[in-house]
Amino acid sequence: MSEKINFFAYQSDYYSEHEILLSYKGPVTDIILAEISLEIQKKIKENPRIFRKLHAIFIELAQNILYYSNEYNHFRKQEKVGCIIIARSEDYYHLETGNLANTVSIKLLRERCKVINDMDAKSLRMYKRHMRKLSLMAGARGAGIGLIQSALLSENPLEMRSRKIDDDYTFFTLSVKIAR
Amino acid sequence: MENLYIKGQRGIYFTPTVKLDAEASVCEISGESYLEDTVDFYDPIIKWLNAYNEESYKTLTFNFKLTYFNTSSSKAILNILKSLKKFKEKGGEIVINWYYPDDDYDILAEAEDFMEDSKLSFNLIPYKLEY
Repeated sequence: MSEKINFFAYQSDYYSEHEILLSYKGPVTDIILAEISLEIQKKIKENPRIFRKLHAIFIELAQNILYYSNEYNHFRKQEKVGCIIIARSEDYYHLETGNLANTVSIKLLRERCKVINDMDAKSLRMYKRHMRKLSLMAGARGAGIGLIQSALLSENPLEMRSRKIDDDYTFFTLSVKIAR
Repeated sequence: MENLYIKGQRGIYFTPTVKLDAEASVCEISGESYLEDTVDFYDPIIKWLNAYNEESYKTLTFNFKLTYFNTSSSKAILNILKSLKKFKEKGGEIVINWYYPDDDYDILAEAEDFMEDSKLSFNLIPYKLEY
């Protein structure tokens, strides 16, 4: 997991290394997410297996933006803001989300990614079941297992990069890749 | 007791089709499950199963035929299985059929995990999904 991201070159770096299928930055609302879902379906319809995985991961990571983003726009409902990129390279499909978050929550997220990346598929499945049960007992609304599920479905480690903006805020990206 | 029917919809969110038939003692959830409020959607299903549990001893068949569900819905499925388990512990008979697209190992793995968690056995039934 590389630690730092060049925030200013972030999107241009990405563009040079991948074939971009979709790139979005702006408010993340349920309507926008539905539109992006349809776009994913259109672009990857020739491969249902990849579509299913990518779409399911997209839904989970989008929830993550909604949960962690600390950037809001100031129209009407103060919608949360984030970036979503879907790209293709020679061997993989890539999905990356980026958003600003509380510096405090970044530490927790990095630890979560590390725990997940250190597990093999079998342990991950057990970990997912364990966390799902805990969440059920706690009566939480979400399942809190979106990152585990993303790692399981992608069959690859999660990659997290971040750059501290100031003491309070850090920009971070989460990316997953799925073998073509 | 009344039947419960919810027609599936695919819009901003994906609502599964739900058919809970008390007379036939057959329940089915099919399609895709990604909801704005998962708890709110699944609550009537749990309530229906609890009522069935109170009123009936007839063998209950539950068919899961979901092609996609998010992690929040997976929690709701676990809750359904808990209700079915209660029915079984009370002496009721249940048959759980889990249909999965024959090329979708992720949905099959979900079923295996649900079986372990609920200690219930499922019939795992592959089928060809038309794209």
